[in-house]
Amino acid sequence: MSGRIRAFSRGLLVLAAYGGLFAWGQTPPPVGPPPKGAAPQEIGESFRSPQGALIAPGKAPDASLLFTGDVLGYVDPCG
Amino acid sequence: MNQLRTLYPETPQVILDTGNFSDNPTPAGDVKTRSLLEAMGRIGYAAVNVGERELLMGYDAFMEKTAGASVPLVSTNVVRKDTKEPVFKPYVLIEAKRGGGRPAFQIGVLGVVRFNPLFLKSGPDNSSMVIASPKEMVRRYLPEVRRRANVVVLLAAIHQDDARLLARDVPGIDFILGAYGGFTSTGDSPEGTTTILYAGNQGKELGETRLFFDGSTKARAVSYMHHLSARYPDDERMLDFTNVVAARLNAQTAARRQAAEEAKTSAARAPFAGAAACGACHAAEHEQWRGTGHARAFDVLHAQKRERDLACLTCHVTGAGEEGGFRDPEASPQLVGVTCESCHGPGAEHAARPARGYGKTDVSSCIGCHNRQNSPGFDYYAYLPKVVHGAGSSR
Repeated sequence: MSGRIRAFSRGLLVLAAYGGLFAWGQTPPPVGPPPKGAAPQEIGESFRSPQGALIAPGKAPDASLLFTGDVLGYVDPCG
Repeated sequence: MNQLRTLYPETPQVILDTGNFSDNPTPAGDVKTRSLLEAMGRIGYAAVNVGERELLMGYDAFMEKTAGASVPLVSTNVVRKDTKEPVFKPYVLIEAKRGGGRPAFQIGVLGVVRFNPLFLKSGPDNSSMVIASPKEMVRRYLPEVRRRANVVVLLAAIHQDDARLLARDVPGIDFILGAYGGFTSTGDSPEGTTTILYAGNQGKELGETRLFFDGSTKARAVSYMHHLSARYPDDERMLDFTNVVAARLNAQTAARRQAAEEAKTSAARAPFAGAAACGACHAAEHEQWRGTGHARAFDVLHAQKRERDLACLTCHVTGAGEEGGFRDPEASPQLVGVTCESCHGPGAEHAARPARGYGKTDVSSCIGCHNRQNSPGFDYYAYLPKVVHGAGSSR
């Protein structure tokens, strides 16, 4: 995993100061799984990356949520 | 993360943890917990949910570990007993800045931990902390987050069934990203308009959800679960960091082991005989075992510099943590690897007075280590031929 430190905290401070001014002021767009008819070659399908690929190819997303959990003290895998 | 960053340089990554990252409150566990906090800070985690494990020793002990680590903590339902107000920020807003001059958007992240009416820990300013109802607290903050954010994420240290009920009872959450009990999602798991995704445990899984705002009117989500096997290349800087942590842990464990060794009674009381003692009578089986992965199980720990980490040793040596079991490679070389006695049980008594009745084993010997987290492809009947002793084995 990358060691690059990103300055989210600065953004959060600004947000804390200006509050809702940064919200779009419009109904947030709905999110969820892609509809059945979506062009899979463009944005791919959940949990279906090409055989052997570490990273599924496709159109660049607007954002990526990456998450871990229940790490339970494991700094590194045992092997 | 590096590969995604290379592939999609203009895509902002929002890195999150659903909580319960802390190790046990022991000297070695404290080193790991501090190291994980430091690592999350270095990686740039944007929000980290606070789980029960973080608070085992109370608020002050946890916050002392976070000192110097720039990790934003969130929790809606860890509250002060007196005021019922959240101890940590109930949510954070993260601005996702897109490339190409497109407008940024907001991701609101809340955190929640499983309801535990018995939880009572020391809180900030001599207060007490308790855990409030997740539903009640999420319901309290969701409208505010929904107003301010385009995407709402709930980090959940709760069972996946509870997550589903929460999504049903409190509509309006876009994603529940969770981890509990080792459960790993194998597909999108929608509940109403909420997508629920779970990321296993032990840091072996990384969830990835790609958001697409086509024309800023409708967003789509596509998710993947990355099992972080050796196929994923290490980041050199993080590898250096984890090696330093491993060395620190090894030195700490070695010092503790040495002290314990001095206090130990004689090795004659040890219940383990060692593989060589078994081989004296069961030569064919011993020779066959020498060719198995079990015999080489310690090599990988040596390669990863984890040869003194008890959390790993349990499945890579014989009798780790047990009286008379593996202490370290120098003190107990006969117990290095998954030896005869890992499956057949301590054998010193049998070696001293050989008799029938010792050594029966079955699948229960396997599944302690070949569990879903450590050995996801484990199939007893497929694996058994790799280790079972051949026809003509002595009984």
